[in-house]
This record gives sequence, structure tokens and C-alpha cells, in this order.
Amino acid sequence: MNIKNVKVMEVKSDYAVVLSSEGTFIRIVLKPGISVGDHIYITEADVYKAEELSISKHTLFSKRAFFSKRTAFTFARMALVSSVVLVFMLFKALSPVAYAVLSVDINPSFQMVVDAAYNVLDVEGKNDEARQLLTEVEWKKGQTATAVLQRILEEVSDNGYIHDGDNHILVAAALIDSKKKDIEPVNQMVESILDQLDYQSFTEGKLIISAISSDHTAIEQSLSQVISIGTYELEKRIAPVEPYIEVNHGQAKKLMPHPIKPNKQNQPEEEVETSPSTADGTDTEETTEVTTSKPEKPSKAPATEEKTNNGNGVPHPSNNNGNNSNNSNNGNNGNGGNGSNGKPNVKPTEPPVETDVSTEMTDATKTTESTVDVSTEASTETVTTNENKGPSDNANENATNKDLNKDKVKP
Amino acid sequence: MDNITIQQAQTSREARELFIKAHFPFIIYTVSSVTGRYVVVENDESFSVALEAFNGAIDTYSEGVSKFETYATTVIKNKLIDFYRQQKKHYGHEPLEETIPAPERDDDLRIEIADLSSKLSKFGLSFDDLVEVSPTHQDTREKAITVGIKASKIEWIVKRMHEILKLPVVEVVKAGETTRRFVYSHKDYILTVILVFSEDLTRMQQFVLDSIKGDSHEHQKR
Repeated sequence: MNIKNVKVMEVKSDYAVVLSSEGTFIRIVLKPGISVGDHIYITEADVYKAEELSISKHTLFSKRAFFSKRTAFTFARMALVSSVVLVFMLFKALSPVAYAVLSVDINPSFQMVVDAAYNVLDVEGKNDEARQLLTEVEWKKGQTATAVLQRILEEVSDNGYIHDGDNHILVAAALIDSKKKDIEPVNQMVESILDQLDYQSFTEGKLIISAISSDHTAIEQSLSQVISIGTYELEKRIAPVEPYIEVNHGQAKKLMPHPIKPNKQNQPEEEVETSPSTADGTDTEETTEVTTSKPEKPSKAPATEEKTNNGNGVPHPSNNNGNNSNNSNNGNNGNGGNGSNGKPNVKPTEPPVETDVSTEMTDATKTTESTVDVSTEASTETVTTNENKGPSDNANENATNKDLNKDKVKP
Repeated sequence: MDNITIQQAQTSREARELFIKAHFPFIIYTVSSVTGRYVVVENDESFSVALEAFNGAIDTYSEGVSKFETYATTVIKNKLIDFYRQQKKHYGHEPLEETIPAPERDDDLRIEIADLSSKLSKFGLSFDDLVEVSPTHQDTREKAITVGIKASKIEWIVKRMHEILKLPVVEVVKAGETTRRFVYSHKDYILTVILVFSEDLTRMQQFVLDSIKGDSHEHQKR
């Protein structure tokens, strides 16, 4: 054990600085009675340790506080661990969480993931055109969905996908949380995003925007396939989608108070309604919607709809796979239609296929007239309730097909 | 000296003195542990009591009971407690801590230290900073002190140092006949030595001079 005789040069709150008889300045721990100028003996045990110094310099604890050094270290470690855990939890709590998926089918077809504040977390193209366009679109994670969509639409317009004539855009949205069935949050999100768009910046022609709600199933399907949730919904949908906004020369006009009408397709318990319809095609849309009482069989979308593309309806591009429909009208098995069963196998860019009317006419159990029965293939359970369904719905839906398919051809 | 055994110390007077000197650090450590204070080099009554107790422990120690250091620690501790009890009785009911006689303080040295601290602060230095820059090796320390003393003798270097408020390295290199690298490496320590020896800080000067004389065992004076 070595000792040094030292002179105390300075007394601090946590330690003292001494000058040893060897000419070195040393920090020593404080002991009672120590004062500047004292000539004292110190041992190695009295040297102030570096780690003690680091604590005192950070003024975590003072030696004269209630805590001993050991306790101070323990508390310091606990505080460090606690702060790390707290920061981690805060980070996790504040980090954006995917809230909903929004798809925009023009076509090109885009799909974005947004958080609860409608800020974009991810954007992907669902077809080649979209992927190509996205390479030109500058967007950052955290930007508002409106801003990103605005930029996408401008890029789409610049590349000629939005022309001077009628342009149909289908917006679909779905909450990621499968437990949330309420359509209201989806409506709010779509309305919020669409209402803030500056339409003048990307179109001088006519723009008809329709919105549709989707669900968790569609998200899963869109992930596993190269389709957007909007395309997926239209594949299985029978009812036409009502336009929400019509833009003429950059002036937007709301056609409905809310973007999305409640979709009874997603309510399996819904009673099948039969609404009076006339043979001349004056069926209401509500009637058409409730015919799909079995949403789990989305592939039953009637291929026969496609034959009546009279061009006065709203977008319904799902019938791209109508070329399989000749084989689908084979009775009541119900799952032969389109051959898709919710898995659309036709690319959106394909032109609509005219269905052979004569084939549909042979479906004697479902048609009483020479008109096409929409509900026939939709569900065997609803056959009888929709016998009188007029062609107008079909016309509307097929018009959608026509319109969207027309748009799919890149100018 | 370290090889002297307790048996030799018990039988020979010379061996006992050497044995006690060899155990100075042990005695100081024991006193400091018991009293909770540092042992003052001069006139520390606690140390005197402990030294006396240690000497007595040499006489009363019998081999086989325990190690001598353990035995001596107990003896010193008991003697110090007795000493404080007597002090307490003498000073009435004052607390034990107050009965421990405070060491006599060298006011001249305190004034010198305060003066040096004030001058160092003008150069942006403190005693705390000097802990980090003190040369570790004895040879280096002695060389730095020697260079500083030489430079402090040259008035214009000291004047220049106060003007620029830092060590004039080039001038000190010439005055100290050393390398620029050495001076630059220990510039703060050399600057402090120049301050000590250029001012009227006689007690500090003596303490520093003692250090380069290798007088690091002042406890032997006792």
C-alpha cells in the first residue's frame, strides 16, 4: 500500500484536487474536515475514480445527497434502462401505422397505404403503366394522400392517360383493420382526399370519379395478385358504382353527398329485396345492389352484363373476364361464371368482350324475355327475385366496362 | 525493510523502527478508516495515538491467534476509540466529530494557493484541468519542472506569457533547451511551474522543488 503526502489545492462539491509531493495533481474523495492548504496523507483508496467523476460531472447525484455512490450508480443504471425503454415505446407509439389502403384505377392502376392521418406510407403500381409512371412521381413517405394522388394524376395526365373526352376514375378504399366494418371512416377518408384535389391541374376534359368501399379480403387478394382493391371489388360486384364527382373543365361537382353508398354486398345477412322493375330497364340501383346476398361468391358476376355496353353508365371494369362467360351460364352451380371466383384473370387493359346473346338466351330458367338477367349468375338464391330485373342496370355496369376499357388503351 | 518479520521487530530495536516505517501506510490507512478523515502530515494527534498503539501491538502480539495486521488494526481502533472518549469527556457533551482536533492550517499556503488559482484562471486553467495534464512519469515531470523553472528566470518570457495569455512555446523551447514537441505536449504544466516560480509563492515553490529532489517519502520525517 503506497501513501502520498499531498497539499489540498482545491475542494469541489464531489472531490478535492491535491498536489502530491511528486508534483502531480490528483483528485481525491472528500472526507470531513478537508480544506484548501491541508497537508495530508492519502492512500490509493482515496483517489477519486474516473467513473465516479463521470457521474458527478453529469450531476446525476451529488455526494452530499442522500445517496451513496453505489446507490447512485444503481439509480443511474435504472434511469438509463428506463429511458431507453421509454424512448422505444414512444417511438413505437408515434410511428405511423398502416390504417387503410386506397386504390385509384384510371387505368393505370395505383394503390397506396395510408395511416390514420391519411399520410402515405407506401405507393405501388398495380400494372406496368402505373409502375412506369411511379418512377416519375416524386413522393415521400408521410406526405398527405391528397398530395401524392395529385402528383400521380398530374403525371397520368401528362402521359396522356387522361384525355379531353370522358375519363373515369375509380377510387376504392378499405380499412386494414378487419374488425372495422363501418363504412363511415372509409367515406370520410375518400371524401377528405378527393375534395382537396386540384382538378384543374390535370384535366381540361370531363372526369367522372366514382368511389367504392372495400374490405380486408380485398386487401389480401390485392396483395396476392396484381390487381388493386378497386379492380377486385368490381370483379365481384354486380351493382354499378355511382359517380361521386364529375369534373368539367376543371370544375368539380359533387353528384352525391358522400363518395360511397353503403354497399350491401358486404352484409351477408341482408334480406334479399325485390324491387319492382320494368322490362324497359328502369331498375333502381338499390335493387341491383341487394341482389348480391352472397358476397363470398364474388365470381358470380354475370358475364352477360357485358353484352349491353350502351355507354350510359358508370365505371364497372370488372367484366374484362366476360369472355369466359359463355361457359359460365351452365345452370345453377353458380361458380362457373367468369372462371374467376374472385380472382380476376383478365388484365384491365384488355378490351371488353361481347357476350353471345344467344348463349344467354338459352338460359331459360332465368330469362323470361330476351333481356339479360343480371341476377342469374350472381346467385342461385336470388334467381327468382330478379327475374324482372331490367337491362338498365346491366347497361350501366357495362357502360362502366366500356368506359374504363376505353381508357385502358394508352393513347 | 519489507522483509523484517514481527518476530524480529519484537526482539530488535532497530528492526522495530524499520518495521514501523514499513507499516506507515497501513497505520495511516487504519487511522483514516476509523476517523473518517485524512491524516494530516504534521501534528495529527490521531496518528500519534495510532502509532503508539501499533508499537504496543508489536509487543503484545502472539503468533497463531491471527495475522499481525488484523491484530494491529483492532488494537489501533480500540486505542483511537478510547482517545476520542477521553476527548469527549474532556469537552463535555459535544459530538464525537467535533472532539477530533482539527489540524493546524497553514494560512500562508492557503493564500498562495488562492493566488495561484486566480492567476491560472486568467490563462483559462484550473487545478482540475491540471489533473489531466500532469506528466505521469517521474522523469518527464522533473524535466518539465526544470524547463519551467528555467523559463521563469527569464523575465521577458514571463512578460510575453502574460501578454498572450498562453505559453510562448518557441521562447520556452530555447530557454529550456528542449524540443518543441516536449514543450507543446506539457505546455499547461510548464506554464503552471512558470507561474509558481515567477511569483512570490515560496511555500509552493518549496513543495515543487521537493518533488524533483525525489522527496516523495516525507512521512519518513515523522
